[in-house]
Amino acid sequence: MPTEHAQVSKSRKISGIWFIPLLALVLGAYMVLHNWMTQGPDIEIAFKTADGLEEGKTKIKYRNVDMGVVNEVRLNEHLDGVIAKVKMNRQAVPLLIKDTGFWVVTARVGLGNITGLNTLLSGAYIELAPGSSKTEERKFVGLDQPPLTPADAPGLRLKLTSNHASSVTAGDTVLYKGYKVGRVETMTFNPDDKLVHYQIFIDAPYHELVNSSVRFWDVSGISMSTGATGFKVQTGSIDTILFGGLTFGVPTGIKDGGKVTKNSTFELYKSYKDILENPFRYGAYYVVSFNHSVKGLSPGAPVEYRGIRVGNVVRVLFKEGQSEQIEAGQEGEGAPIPVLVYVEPGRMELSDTEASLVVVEETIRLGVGNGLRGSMERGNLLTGAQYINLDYYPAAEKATLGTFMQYTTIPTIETGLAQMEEKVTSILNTIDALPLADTVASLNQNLESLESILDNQSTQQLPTHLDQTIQELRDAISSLAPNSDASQTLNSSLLSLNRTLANLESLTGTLSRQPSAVIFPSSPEVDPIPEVSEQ
Amino acid sequence: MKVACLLLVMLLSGCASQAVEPSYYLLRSNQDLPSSKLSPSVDFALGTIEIAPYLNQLGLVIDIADSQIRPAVNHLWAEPIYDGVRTLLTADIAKANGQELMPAKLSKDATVVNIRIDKLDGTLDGRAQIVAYWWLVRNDEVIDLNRFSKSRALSADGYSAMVDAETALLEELAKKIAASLVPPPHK
Repeated sequence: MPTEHAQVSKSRKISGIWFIPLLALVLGAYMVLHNWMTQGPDIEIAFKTADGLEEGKTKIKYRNVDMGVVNEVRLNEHLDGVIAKVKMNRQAVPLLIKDTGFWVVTARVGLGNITGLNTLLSGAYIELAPGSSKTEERKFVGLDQPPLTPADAPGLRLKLTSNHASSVTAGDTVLYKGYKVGRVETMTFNPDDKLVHYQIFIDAPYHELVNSSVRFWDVSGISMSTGATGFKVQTGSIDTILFGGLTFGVPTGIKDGGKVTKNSTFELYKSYKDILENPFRYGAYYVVSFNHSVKGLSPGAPVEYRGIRVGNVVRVLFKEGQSEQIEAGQEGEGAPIPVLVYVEPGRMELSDTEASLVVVEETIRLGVGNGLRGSMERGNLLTGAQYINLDYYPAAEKATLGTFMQYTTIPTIETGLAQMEEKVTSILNTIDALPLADTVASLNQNLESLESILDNQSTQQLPTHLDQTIQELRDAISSLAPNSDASQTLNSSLLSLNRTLANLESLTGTLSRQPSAVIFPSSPEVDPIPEVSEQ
Repeated sequence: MKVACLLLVMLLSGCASQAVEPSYYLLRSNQDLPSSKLSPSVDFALGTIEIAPYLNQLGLVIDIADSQIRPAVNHLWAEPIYDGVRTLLTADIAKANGQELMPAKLSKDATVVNIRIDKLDGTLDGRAQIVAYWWLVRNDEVIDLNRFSKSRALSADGYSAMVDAETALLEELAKKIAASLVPPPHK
């Protein structure tokens, strides 16, 4: 019987079933490694509320790419806000810098637009806007509103100030010749300076249109005005009519200025008309005081230098002048009335810059030393309107710049009609003070006395006697004329006198040389004889 | 008594001495001045004639050395030398120009001739000398200025010849002045 041999085969050492856990292990290791490699840092974002934030669901997006997810939402330690802890991707690391912005994107309905409608289905998410800083940051403060302009957007960011809150608000359009070139980013009111502050952004390349001479004005709504030519209606774009906005440009007659740096401050004017009335940015306030009536001098009146307008009157500081007088203990003494004026270098053909203002201030300081004075002149004889004139008076008393409150004062001088009026008044007062009645009475008495003297017979004969005397005097003078007998006799007598004096001189000479000549004869003096020389 | 008689004799003897009689001289032009009708000059007038103060005396002056003069005691001018010089010069200028120079105050628009005599005397070596200046003034402006300086030998010894020589020098000066009086072109 054949023997059947059992075939011995080697059994497998590792069961195939182990492939499954091995595969799972490799996959797990891959996943761990992938997770480790893609995982970024943890960051914290502070928000006012947790509206729209859900742990493990709310994502961080940048350009619609997931950059992380909110892991935890908790109240902050002051309990006045929330902190969202976010696990970021490694890809987001370069974006986590100091000025990076975060805000919650939800559906918003505004005046100008509706945004975030897609979040109604997908849920809110946090948008990331990278900054331009070089400093890394892990803790951020979330924005309440999405920024209107990305932090790294090319363009120019400026500040505007206005002394009244117009209809311009954040989000409004900035126009240039009616074309949208930027937007208003923020609007705040500062109680310290009582000004409304705006931050605007001009997109590139339109920011090149901004220079130091441009002016910004409000073009919100519709501006209507009436004049001799009828009604005028001015509007901006439809956006600005409905939602407000502002525009800018260089006013007519002003040269383009230099480049401006970011965050430079400009004034926001109410209208272009307001700019035309006050077209210059730079100017200096001065005070001029007058010791006479300022009737007819109203705010806005011109300040001129030799007929050229260089500024305008701001207002009469009557109240302040009285206060200063009371503080100085001089109440009741008739203090001068101070007038605040505003002098602008741009009106003097100088560039409208701070450097020009310095030049003008220095010119005025030196000018006052050389006789520059302010005076009040009558601009219109019919209406009595007055203006301030600046001019040089070299003969004026020496003076220097002074101070009144926080303003510099320019010394004044009285000229023109004011001076004439004062002189006429002074003369009339002097005449009024004269004792005219007594003088006239005395004069009448004197005239009566004179009349009685003239009526006297001897007085009436006086002219006849005077004529006779004059005639005699003429006769006497004519008798002494060169060709008269008296003159001839006089000349002859003088000649004889001269000869006698010569003889006397000769005699005294002889006696001085020879005193005994009176008794003893002396030899007569012999004159030397000129003799013809023999040649 | 004897002393008184002696003094009387001496006094009488003094009075008995003989005095020298002085001679008088006159400065007049030697030229013939015939009778004729004279016309006043309208263009020129006579202004001032200044005589050096040392000449302003009766005695004729002799220059006896440098800067030393001696006025004669017995040879005298018959009139003040100023009158003599003025008379001689006006007469000779009038003769040379044919027109009489009137006083400046009578001819207000005329050019005025002013004369100054700095020297007019004789010397012991028989010469007479003169130094004179004249200048013309028109509208308060000097338009011409001249000097005349000359000496002349005496024709004989003595003061009479000296007066003749001085007269001749003054005549020569008058001619020079007359020659310088060129009328301006009339408008």
